[in-house]
Amino acid sequence: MTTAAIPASPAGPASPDSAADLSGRLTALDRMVELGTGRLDDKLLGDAAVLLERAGERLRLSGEHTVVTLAGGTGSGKSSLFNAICGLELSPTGVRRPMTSKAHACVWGLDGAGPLLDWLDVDKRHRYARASALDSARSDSSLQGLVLLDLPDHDSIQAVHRAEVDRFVTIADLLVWVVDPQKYADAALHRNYIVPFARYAGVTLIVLNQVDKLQPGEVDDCVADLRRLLEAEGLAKPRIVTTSAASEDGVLGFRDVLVDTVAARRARSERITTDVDRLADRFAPYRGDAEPPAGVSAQARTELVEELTNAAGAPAVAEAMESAYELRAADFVGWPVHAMIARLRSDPLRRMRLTELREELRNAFTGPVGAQQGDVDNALVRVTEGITGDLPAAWARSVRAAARAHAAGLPEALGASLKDALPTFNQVPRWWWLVKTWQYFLVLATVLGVAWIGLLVAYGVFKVGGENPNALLGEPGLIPYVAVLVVSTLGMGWLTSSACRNMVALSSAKHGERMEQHMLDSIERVADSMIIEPIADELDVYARFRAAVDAARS
Amino acid sequence: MVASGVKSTAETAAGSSESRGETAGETAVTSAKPSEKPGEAGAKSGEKPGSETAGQGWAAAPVPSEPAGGKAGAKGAGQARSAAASREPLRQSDLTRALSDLRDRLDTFEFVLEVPGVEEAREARLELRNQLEDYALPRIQAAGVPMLVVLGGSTGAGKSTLVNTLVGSRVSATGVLRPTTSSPILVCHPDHAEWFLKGPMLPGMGRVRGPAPDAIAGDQLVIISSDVLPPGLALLDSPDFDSVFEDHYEFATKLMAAADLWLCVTTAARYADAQVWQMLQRARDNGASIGVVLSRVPQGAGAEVVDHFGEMLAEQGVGDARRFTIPETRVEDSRLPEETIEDIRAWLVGVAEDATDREIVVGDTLGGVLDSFRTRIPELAKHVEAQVEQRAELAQLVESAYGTALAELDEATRNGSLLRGEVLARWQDFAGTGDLLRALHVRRGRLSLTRRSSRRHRAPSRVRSLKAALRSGLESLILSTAEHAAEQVLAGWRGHPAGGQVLAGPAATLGTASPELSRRVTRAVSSWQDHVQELIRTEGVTKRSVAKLVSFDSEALSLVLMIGLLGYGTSDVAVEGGTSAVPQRLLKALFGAESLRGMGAKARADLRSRIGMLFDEEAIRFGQALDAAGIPDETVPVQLYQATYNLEVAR
Repeated sequence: MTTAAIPASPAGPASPDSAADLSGRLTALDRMVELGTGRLDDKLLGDAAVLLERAGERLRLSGEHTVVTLAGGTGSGKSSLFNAICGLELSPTGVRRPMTSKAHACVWGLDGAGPLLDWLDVDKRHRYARASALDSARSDSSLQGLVLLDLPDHDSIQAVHRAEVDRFVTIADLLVWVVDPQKYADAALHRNYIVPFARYAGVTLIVLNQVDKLQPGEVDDCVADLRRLLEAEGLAKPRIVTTSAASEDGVLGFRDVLVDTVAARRARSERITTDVDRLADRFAPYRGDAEPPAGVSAQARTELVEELTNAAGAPAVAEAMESAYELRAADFVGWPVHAMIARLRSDPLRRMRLTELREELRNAFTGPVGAQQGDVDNALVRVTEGITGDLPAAWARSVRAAARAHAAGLPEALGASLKDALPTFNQVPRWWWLVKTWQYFLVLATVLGVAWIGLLVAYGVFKVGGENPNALLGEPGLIPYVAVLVVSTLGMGWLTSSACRNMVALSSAKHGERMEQHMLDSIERVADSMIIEPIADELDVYARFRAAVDAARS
Repeated sequence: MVASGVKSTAETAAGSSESRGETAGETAVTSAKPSEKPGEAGAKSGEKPGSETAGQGWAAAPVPSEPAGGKAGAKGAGQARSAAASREPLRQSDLTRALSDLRDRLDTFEFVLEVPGVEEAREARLELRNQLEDYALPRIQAAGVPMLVVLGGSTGAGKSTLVNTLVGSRVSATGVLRPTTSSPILVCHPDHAEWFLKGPMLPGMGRVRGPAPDAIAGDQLVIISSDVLPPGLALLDSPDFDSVFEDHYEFATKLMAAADLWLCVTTAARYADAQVWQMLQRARDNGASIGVVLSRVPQGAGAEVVDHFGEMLAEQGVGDARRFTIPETRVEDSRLPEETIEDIRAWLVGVAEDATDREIVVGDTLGGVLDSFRTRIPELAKHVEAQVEQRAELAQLVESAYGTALAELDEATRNGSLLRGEVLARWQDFAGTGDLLRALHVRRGRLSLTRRSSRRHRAPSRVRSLKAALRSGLESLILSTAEHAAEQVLAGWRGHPAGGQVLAGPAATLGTASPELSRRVTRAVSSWQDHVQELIRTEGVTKRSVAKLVSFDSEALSLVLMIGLLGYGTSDVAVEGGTSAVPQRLLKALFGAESLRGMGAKARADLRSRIGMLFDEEAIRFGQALDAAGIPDETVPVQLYQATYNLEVAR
């Protein structure tokens, strides 16, 4: 009978650093999950977490054993093959379909196999062991370390069978697909298992069973057709073995492959490596090719600060403060005569009986209050625009979210930071008092001058008190001089007030500038701590994620 | 007599046909043992069935080759149908119209959204459509054509071998490579070859005149004429339905739907395959008449397999299908030994030869197919409704996002949250420096005009700044709210099972807010400001007592009104400053409470409607994306129900 063992893929020596390499890649995968949580697709992260747990479990459990699953369609002869390898009728065979409904396991070499079988969740009733005592006829020591699993079919009308197969194929070290000449091109096998597991070529073996049903000449055609089919589905260099459980030594070729696999002890790590490969590739779309920026560019930062300044209305605040300063200054250095005249003028508020409103309006200067939420939001949208362009969508979203993390608190923070810059405006310089005193002195002088003129008129011209008691009061000739004196005091007051106004204007402009600078500084501080830094942190997370993906895919 | 107790709906047919009643019960329970029936079949044909000579016996059988047409068909069909003969043509044209209408309806929509079950729905629609076009319409129009028996089944089950054996020559390729048959092969009597070549059956497939079985690939129907078959029978060897080639599956289902009788061929190794049972269920649901062939039954253990298979058939609800078994045997010259298929041949020939039996089988299948439309189309309509519902959900997301945005905006323009930053600073500047009061003037006759203008040196600049600050504040608030709403919609759609697909497709160009939004917002806000100023000018009739004394500047006062409207004094900070409700008090004193309330309400309503309009335009983009995605709307299911109803009426 034909038992053509098609050469297995060249088996390189298991290098010691391959284990370290694998654990390094698993660590990288773990980091990817950690960094990606809340940012990437939940399903992918869930799959990765499941794989990590499974790989961790499998690596912890016996490395001396190689788990081999026999899977295939109903009636392909999995159980017959299983029995032929074991040399005993352990798994029931028959013509009714489907036959096997629970996985059967046979172990060569018991040490450490118990926990492994527990983890594989094989029913205790269906576990068998080939200890040396049982085997006298054959030297089964060559299969030492083999855990052979006979699985139910995957294509019968019993859906639970398929679930069982799905569970085992995700944890087996070596996947053996048993097909027969009638069923080897079934869509159920190829679409559901061969194609999704095409990457596992290194740990996949195809067994064409029941070749005794073919004419000798037809076997090669059949194998060639099967090979063509598998290669078309992306299974690189498929290993195909032909067997016939019906004949005495029809399974020898298959047995040889098992012996090689068990001896090499590489299937376990190769399987997990392929798992990691496959999963890491699914992470690839989240790792953009373009090198991400380390943070917000200087230009974008300048623009951001500018927009926040506008949102907080800093120039307007400064202007309003200047106005307030000048108003306050006018109380001190203004020419009181002016104010008196203004008060005499007709006032619409008085006519509307709303005089107290004027005072309230004077107190309108409460200082800066918050910032426009809308402006802030728009600024936050714009600041990330230059960064997110090259990022994968999920990371672009997370960067935008990071920029906006403090959006709700920003207006308050900006307002508070502006208030810190205010005090320079609330002081009252000492010279205002001097000027005020001087102005009132001038007013007094004016009043005295006017009174003097009045007395001169009374005593000097109209001789009210009889003969002049005093030359200063009784001499009418003095009137023009005193009048000149009064006019010049008035003029002096007016001059003082306008000169001081100019000085106040100068100093208020100076204060305004300084205040604007203060505000700018504190806005920059707020922007750095609440926007720029979170963005940089997020970009750092992304950079670390990229490094982890690279490490996992190396 | 070989009768046709083929399927459960046969019972209804049996009621109308008295001649059948006597034998149907007996044969329906006949077990599928291969050795029981051939004697009878052989006796009937008068010859030893087997090689090519059998064909002459069939050809001699007096089966009239009926021309297409309702009247002639009805004449040959016997008593049961002659009663209905008078309304036949009318019924036929009505039915044709109803079915074509149904077919057209099925073409008018697409299942766009990937919701659970949509694959099945797409397939169901394709199947319905194909069945209408490939089978139902041609079958109604041409009642007298041969009975089409389609052999379908698993790859490697031996369909081609069975056809070859039945025809008696190698018309279809056989072999060990799977799958073997790639193009369907139709074998019929030479009299009907032309009809099958040109006819309305399976209009979507190309035709090739056989024999050229090895060189054809793709959707070509190879038609081979053979006088071995009786004129009333045509055999179709269809590709498998379970191999890796998906187009085979499509053909197999398409051909299955076009069959008068579907013969499912499976093997002893495969009879438990899920795919076999799915196809059987489907054939049953689609109203086909079914026969089942279990081939490659191993010698010895055969009885156990056959019994188990029988149990499973009963379990799955196809227990009344006619059953045959073929043992595992040597295949020579692509043919089975004749004795293994004798009962199949006898049954097929028996049904095909007898015009009445044939009409019954054909009529049963047609009736079954039309019956199946009663459930299948409403089911399809439910799937369409699911799509419509998804669309409604997506639209609802848009609506709620913009609704929330509008409500938020309404709140923000009322609670004073706009009065921050620049707006507040400008207001303080404007109010605190006394420029506000300078907007009020004491009436002093005509001269006052000229005097006033000379004194208001700084006022216009402060008024202008405040106006600009208000405008930009409102603008950015509206913009950011619109932006946020659009993001909400996008996030909602992304999270929605159907939304991701719309976003990937026609909605891919949707940014967050539309690019021209900022221009529109600018226009809307400045026209609102103009509107408020206009309100002050036209409706702000000053209280009579005040009017005599005070006049005012409408631009400055419109700003005061806006500040008041935006909630000055309601926000905590302004209260803290002790200047609560200054604008309100001032305005009330000027205009009176009544008039102020009216103006406030009008101005607010105007702002609201302007923003509403902006948001509507924004929301429309999403609606357009939904339209562009081609999701069916709610009229489609209604039309489908209507078409089904029309069909029922026409029957």
